Amino acid sequence: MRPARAPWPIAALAAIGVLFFALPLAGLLYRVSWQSAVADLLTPEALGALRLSLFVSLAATALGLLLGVPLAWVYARIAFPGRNVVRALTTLPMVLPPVVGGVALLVAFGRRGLVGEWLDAGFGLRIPFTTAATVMAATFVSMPFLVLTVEAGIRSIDRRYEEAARTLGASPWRIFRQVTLPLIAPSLFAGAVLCWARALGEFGATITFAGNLPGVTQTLPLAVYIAMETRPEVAIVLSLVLVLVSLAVLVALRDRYLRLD
Amino acid sequence: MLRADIQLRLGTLDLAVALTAEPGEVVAVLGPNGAGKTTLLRAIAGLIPLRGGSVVLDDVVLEDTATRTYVPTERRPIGVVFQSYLLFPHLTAVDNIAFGLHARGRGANARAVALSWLARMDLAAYADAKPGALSGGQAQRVALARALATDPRLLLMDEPLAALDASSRVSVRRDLKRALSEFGGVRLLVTHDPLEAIALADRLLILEDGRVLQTGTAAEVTERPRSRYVADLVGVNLLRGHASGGHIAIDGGGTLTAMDGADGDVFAVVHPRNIALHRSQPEGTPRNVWSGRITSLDRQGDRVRVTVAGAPRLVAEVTPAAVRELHLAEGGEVWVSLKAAEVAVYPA
Repeated sequence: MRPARAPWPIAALAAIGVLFFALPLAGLLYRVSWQSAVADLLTPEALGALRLSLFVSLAATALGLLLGVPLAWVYARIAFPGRNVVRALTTLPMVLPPVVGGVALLVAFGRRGLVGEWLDAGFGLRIPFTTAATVMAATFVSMPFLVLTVEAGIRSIDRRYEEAARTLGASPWRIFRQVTLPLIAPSLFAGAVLCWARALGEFGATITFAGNLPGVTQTLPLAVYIAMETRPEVAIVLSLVLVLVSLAVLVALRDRYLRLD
Repeated sequence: MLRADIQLRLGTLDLAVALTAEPGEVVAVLGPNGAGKTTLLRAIAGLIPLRGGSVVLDDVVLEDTATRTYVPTERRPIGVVFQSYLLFPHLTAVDNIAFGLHARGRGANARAVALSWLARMDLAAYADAKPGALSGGQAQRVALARALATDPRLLLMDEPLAALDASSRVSVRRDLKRALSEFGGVRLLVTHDPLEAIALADRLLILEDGRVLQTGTAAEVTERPRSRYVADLVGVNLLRGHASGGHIAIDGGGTLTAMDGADGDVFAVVHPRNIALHRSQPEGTPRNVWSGRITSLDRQGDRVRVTVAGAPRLVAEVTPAAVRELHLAEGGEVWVSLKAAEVAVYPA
């Protein structure tokens, strides 16, 4: 077969599509002031936001793995009534506007919230506007990516390996740790990276539920948003950092997850 | 001793099989694809729930639907060898073998035990190789060692040689035979290959459509097959012997001339249909001619199986008309002829 040539209307519209993504990136690269870029990155606000974002996104990924992998296993293996409803519930944050997630978290864990009031009265625990709240907001929006990826991974492994392990005397818990988890390592990696990237970019739920306290809850995206009003050049440098990180994630996942052909 | 009474339905398969196997005995479950062989094995292992029946091993009830007893697979003293090996791809050969020891709480010297098993399989050099780096024959040896390392009381083998190519099949079969002879428990082998069954097993259990068609030693089945399928596929003459220069000295007496030039220990396979019987010594091209006494006549529809005790002892299949014309009768003398081209030779 001869290589296909795109009809000109399709080629023109596709080119506009590419420009739509390429131009903003080009704008970032064009406007960044390279002389002051390093100095801008080393300001206390920028460094604080970087450090906090790193901590929050990694903590959200760890929490996501801790809770999300067992959840994915249950979805993939246990048939229980209402499974689809529960799965939809835990997938909802993927399509929900993050700010709505933030409001929901506030209503549940805020000082007058469903659980928050009881936590406050019983333990003196106040979650909103703390780093813990930032981690919770990030986990809320990012864990569904991990759960879906890992569930697909668990569904796709050859279950006969687990049967072989049973015939060798392995308990279900040992099989999960020593057979299932190693077999789904690629999905686990892909899910964790997607989860981490989504947590790193989280904005809406964070600003609603955790606020915007520098050093405590002000993550990179929040710092970018605030800096745009006062010091746009810092915002541009920080934006570029996030672009580079996202690009690195895409490259890392290229072979494992995002290949279409 | 294994006593199993297996009743279950799976898809279109309706399985109802009762079987017993003594320790020291190798029982081969033989049958066409879809007969329920693998399902039977999985049910005994506890991987498929029974609808009715029981599994009793060495007087321990592993499963009984009447008393709602069910010992889960991981607590049954079994070892399973799978057709596709199913070695854990992320573990090395030695860790694969040690897996069962750890799982059964005998992890203290697991690595040493696993290494000694690898040495017994002549695979000591591959201890730290991942399964992906092993050939099919090596992988199946590791899988066999993994199944045996936990000292099971019952060894279940599901088409252990089927995935191997012809050359490694011979050597793995030899290892398998040796391992089987050293193993003290009950041994159950599932296969669709009659040669494999006859070569490895003491007793055959022939399964078709979820039912036991026939059970007995290879000689019994060859002498009196109970169905056309059994006669055609299982009821062949299988002789062990030592070949050199196209002549095979058969264990137990007699010599056969074959066209295949294999040397060394062999199986010679002769289909009963290809054996001709004569009243007097025949002259002609067949390279193998000898005489013997008829010990049994077994009518099977439009054919008769005639067992001739000679050197070697063989079963021939002839028409009822031939039996009348030749006056074949039990106790009578008869001449046997067989062309060299009809003797198939396989390395043993």
